[in-house]
Amino acid sequence: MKCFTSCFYKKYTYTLSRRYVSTSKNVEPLSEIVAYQNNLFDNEQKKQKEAVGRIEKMIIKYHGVPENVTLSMNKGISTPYDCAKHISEMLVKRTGLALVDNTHLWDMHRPLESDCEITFMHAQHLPDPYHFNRAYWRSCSLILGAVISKAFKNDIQPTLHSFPSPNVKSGSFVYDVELSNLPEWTPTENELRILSANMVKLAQTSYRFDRLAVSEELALDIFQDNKFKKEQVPNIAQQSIDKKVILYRIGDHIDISKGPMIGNTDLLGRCTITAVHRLDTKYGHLYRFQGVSLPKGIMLNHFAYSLLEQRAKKLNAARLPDQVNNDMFVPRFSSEDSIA
Amino acid sequence: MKGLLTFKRIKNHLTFNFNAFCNVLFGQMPPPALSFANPVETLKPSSQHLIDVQQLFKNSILWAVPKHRRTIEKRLGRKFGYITEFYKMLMPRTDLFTCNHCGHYYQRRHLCPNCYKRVKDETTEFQEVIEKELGLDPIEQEVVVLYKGEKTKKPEEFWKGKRIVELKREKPVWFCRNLLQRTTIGNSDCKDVKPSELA
Amino acid sequence: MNQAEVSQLISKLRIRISPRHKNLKCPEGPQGRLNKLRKTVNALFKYERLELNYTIADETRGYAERLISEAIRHGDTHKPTMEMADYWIEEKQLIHKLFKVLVPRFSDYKTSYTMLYRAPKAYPDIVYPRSVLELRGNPFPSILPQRIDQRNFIHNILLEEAKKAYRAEKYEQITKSLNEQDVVDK
Repeated sequence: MKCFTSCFYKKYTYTLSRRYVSTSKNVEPLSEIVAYQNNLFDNEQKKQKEAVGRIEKMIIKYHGVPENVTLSMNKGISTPYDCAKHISEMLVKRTGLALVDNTHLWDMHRPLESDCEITFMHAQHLPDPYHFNRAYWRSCSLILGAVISKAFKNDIQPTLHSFPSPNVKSGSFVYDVELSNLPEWTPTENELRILSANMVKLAQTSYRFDRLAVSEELALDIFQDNKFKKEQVPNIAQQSIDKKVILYRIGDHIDISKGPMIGNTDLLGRCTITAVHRLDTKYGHLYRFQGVSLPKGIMLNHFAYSLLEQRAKKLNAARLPDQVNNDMFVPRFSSEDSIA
Repeated sequence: MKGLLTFKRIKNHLTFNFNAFCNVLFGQMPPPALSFANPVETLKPSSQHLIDVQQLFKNSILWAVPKHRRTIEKRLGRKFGYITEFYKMLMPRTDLFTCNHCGHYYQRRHLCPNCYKRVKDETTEFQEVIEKELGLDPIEQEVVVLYKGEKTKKPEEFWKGKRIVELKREKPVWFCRNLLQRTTIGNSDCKDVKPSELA
Repeated sequence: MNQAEVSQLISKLRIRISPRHKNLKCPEGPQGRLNKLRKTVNALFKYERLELNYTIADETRGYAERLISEAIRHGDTHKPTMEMADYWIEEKQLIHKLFKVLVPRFSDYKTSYTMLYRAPKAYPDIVYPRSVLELRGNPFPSILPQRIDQRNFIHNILLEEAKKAYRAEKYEQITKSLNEQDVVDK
C-alpha cells in the first residue's frame, strides 16, 4: 500500500559506487582554466545585475493553467521562473521555456524587461511544443558538450568546436569536438554507455542555464584556450545586432549559443549518446558526438526508444564545421529568437 | 503448618529428584497454594526455604522465551515490511501526473479530480432536471438536455423523436458536445496554418 | 454426440467478467447481494451515470450489459427476457426505456454498452476505491476530456521521422534488388 503523501522528493541521488571510481591521476580535470572562466562570468553577471540600478515594477499577465494571474514583478531582475514560482509549483517543475507577448522566446532565468504577457511552454504544450522541442534539443547539445569536456582522461584534450542549429527531425543532437592524441577512435559500447550515464548524472544535479550577453573581448578572454571558439566569437559578434555574444553556463561549463535554452537540466529525461563519427574537415579530424533524448514526462516504451537510438546512430547530416557562414548564426531582426 | 510442610517436601524432592517434584506438583498433591490450611501461617514472613523455591520458580523454569534465533531475513522483514505484501518504507509516488487541461494533479488511470468535479456538478443538475420532468411515466424517447438558446440553433427535424429538457442557463465554456458525434460538415478549406513554423 | 455450441448459447459481452463474483458484504447473504445489485442496475438505467464504489460498479456492469444484450437479441415479446427485465428493473417505467430507448440506441454497437471509470480518490475521507459507471450515449457532458493531439510531441516527431527513414531505406533496398534481378535476367 503506497502512502498517499504527495512526495515529490528525489528518491535516489546518484552516487558513484566506490568500486568504479578511478584512482588514476589521469582523471582529474584541469580546474585552473575553468575557475578563471567562471570567475570572469560571475563578475560580468554581477556587473550586469548592478547596472539595473533602481528597482522598478512591471506588470506581468499570465493566461493559462491553473489560473489567470496578474503579477507585479521587478523590472530587469525578475525572471519567468520567478513568475512561475508565484503561480504554481507544477509550472515551476515542468516549464522549460517562456513566450513573452506571443512573439519572443525567453529563457526561464533571463530577466524580463517590461510589462508583458507571458506563456509557459513545456514538453506537452498545446497545440504545438515546437519551440520547446527545439530549445530542448539545443540544450541537450550543450549538456553533451559539458559532458565531453570532462569525460576524457588528462592526456586527451577535448576542444569543443560547436554544435549546429537544432533539428529535431534529424533524430539526433550533435556536438563537434576535436580530440587531441586520438586520431583514430571508435567508441566501444561501454564508452558510449558511460557518456550517456555521465549526461544523465549531470542532468540530475539540476543545473540552471545561466544566460549572459557579453562583449566580444570578454568572450575572447573566456575562450582563450579554445582555438575554434576564438575564431567564432568575432563572427558571431559581427552578426548580432548589439555586438554581443550570448553565453550559457551550466555548473562550471560555459558555451556560446544564440537561441533560448530550457531553464534547468533536470528536464532531461532519458538520454543516450548513440554514436561518434569521425569527420575530416579543414580543421583536421573532428569527432561528431550524436545522441538522442526525451524530456522528463514523455513516456515511451523501451522498444520504441530503441528505434530512436538506432536511427540516431546514423551520421547526422547537419552542416559540417568547416562550412563557411554556418547557419547557426543567421542574423535576425533582434538578438533574441522570435516567432512570427 | 501444613503449607510449610508441603513446601519443605517440594524443596526436598526438587533437590533430589525433579520428576518426583513434578509429580508432587501436578500428580497427587494439590497445588501448593490450595493446601494452606492455616491463613495465619501465610502471613508469617517467608523462611529461607520458601525463598529458595520461589526463586527456583522464577529463574529455573523459563516461560514464553524464544526457542530459536530470529534470522536477519525475518528481522528485516518485520522491520521494513515486504514489497509484495505490505512495504513499510515510504516510497515516492510515480503515478501522479499533471492534467494538460486544467493543470491539477491526477492519479494515473484515474480521472482528473478538477475536471471530473466540473462534469459531476453539471451531471447532477441534468439528472435532477430530467427526473423532475419525466417523473414516473414510461420513458419512450431519448432525452436531450439543452441550454438557453440552443434549441433554436438547430432545425425542427433535428429534435424529432427526442424528449427535450431545457435548462435555463448559459452553456459552460468547457462543454463540447461534438466529441464523438459525426458531422456532415467536411474538412475546412482554409489554408492558413498557425503557428507559421509548424513542424 | 450433438454438443451445442456453448459460445453461441449466450451473447458475448464486450467487458471483462471475473470468474468469481464479489460477496458485497451483505447481512442477508447472496439474496441480499442480488437485491443490492438490482437497486444499482435500476439506478443505472434511470440516471445513466452513477458514482459508486468500484466493486459494486464492476458487478452491476456485468448484469446491466447482460440484460441489455438479451433485450437486443430477443426483443420485448420474448417471455424469459421480459421476466428477467421485470426482476432486475424495479421501477417499471424503465422497462419501457430499456426496450424502446436503449435497445435502438445500442443495437448497432460494436463496443460495450457501459463505461466504467476510476474516480479520483476523495483523500483522506473515503477508503474504498470509487468509480463512475455510465451508459454510453447518455446526454450528459463527457467524462473524458477532449483528446489531445499528440502528433507534435517530441517523441512522436522522432518516431515519425524514424519511420520515414526506415521506409526510404527499404524502398531503396527493394529497388536495388529489383534492378539486380533485371540485370541477372538479362
